Amino acid sequence: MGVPSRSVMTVLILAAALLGVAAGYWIFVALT
Amino acid sequence: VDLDLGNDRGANVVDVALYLVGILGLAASLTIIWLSMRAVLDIGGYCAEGGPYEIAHHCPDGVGLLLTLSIFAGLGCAGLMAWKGAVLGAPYDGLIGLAWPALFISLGFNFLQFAFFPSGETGIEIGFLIPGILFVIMGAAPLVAFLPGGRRSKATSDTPLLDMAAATEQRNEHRQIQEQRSHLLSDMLQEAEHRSSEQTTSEPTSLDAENADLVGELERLSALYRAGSLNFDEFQRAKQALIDKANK
Repeated sequence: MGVPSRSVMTVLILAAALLGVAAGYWIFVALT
Repeated sequence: VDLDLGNDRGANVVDVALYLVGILGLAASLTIIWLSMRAVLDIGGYCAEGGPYEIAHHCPDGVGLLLTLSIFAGLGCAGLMAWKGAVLGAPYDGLIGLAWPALFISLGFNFLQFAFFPSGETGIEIGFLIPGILFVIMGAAPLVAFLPGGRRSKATSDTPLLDMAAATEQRNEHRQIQEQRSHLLSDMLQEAEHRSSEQTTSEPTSLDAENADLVGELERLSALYRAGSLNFDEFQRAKQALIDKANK
């Protein structure tokens, strides 16, 4: 299985970035 | 032109997954750094923990540790993203470059917000305004270079493949001209040899002079062609006329 198409990668990258922001916020709120 | 070389480089699903983990971790780290900075700016912009001194501004709970950890985690995730981006190829390898503007513009925004709206005070806080402007400039400068009409797009064409095709065509044309020239030269040499061999067999005295004339004329013609005074067709016609005249 290789690299997904350009459009699928775009969705995955945006999803990862948004999830990262949410995770960062959650970690900050939980630990401070 | 949509080129995706990731598959050719042997990238697989694990590379994609690690690349996405890098993005996720980097986004989380940048968020924590951004929120930690706001927490410190909220209490005046500086704080301290530990050491033998009496501390006037204690850091918000957990911020010191979180900030330190998130900086190292962010660097690690950026490294992972750059590494796997290089495996996946364009355009994924360049995405890591956005981390710089994301970091500096977001932190610059914090500085500017607390400069214009300091917590519990009125007026503009110059101590935050200057770093705010500097951070935004540092973050935005690389972005400007990549915008349409920026330095990068001016330096190179939007259609590199078409440029390459044009260059190849130019090279082919040049090669054709070179070939024509060498053919021409060998024609002239053959003709000269032919004339001289004919000359030695019959009527040597008068043909010697004629042959010398022909070679001289051809040489002058060739010089005119090399100088650019004649184009290839004109040169060919003139050469043929000389040869025809000499053969009569």
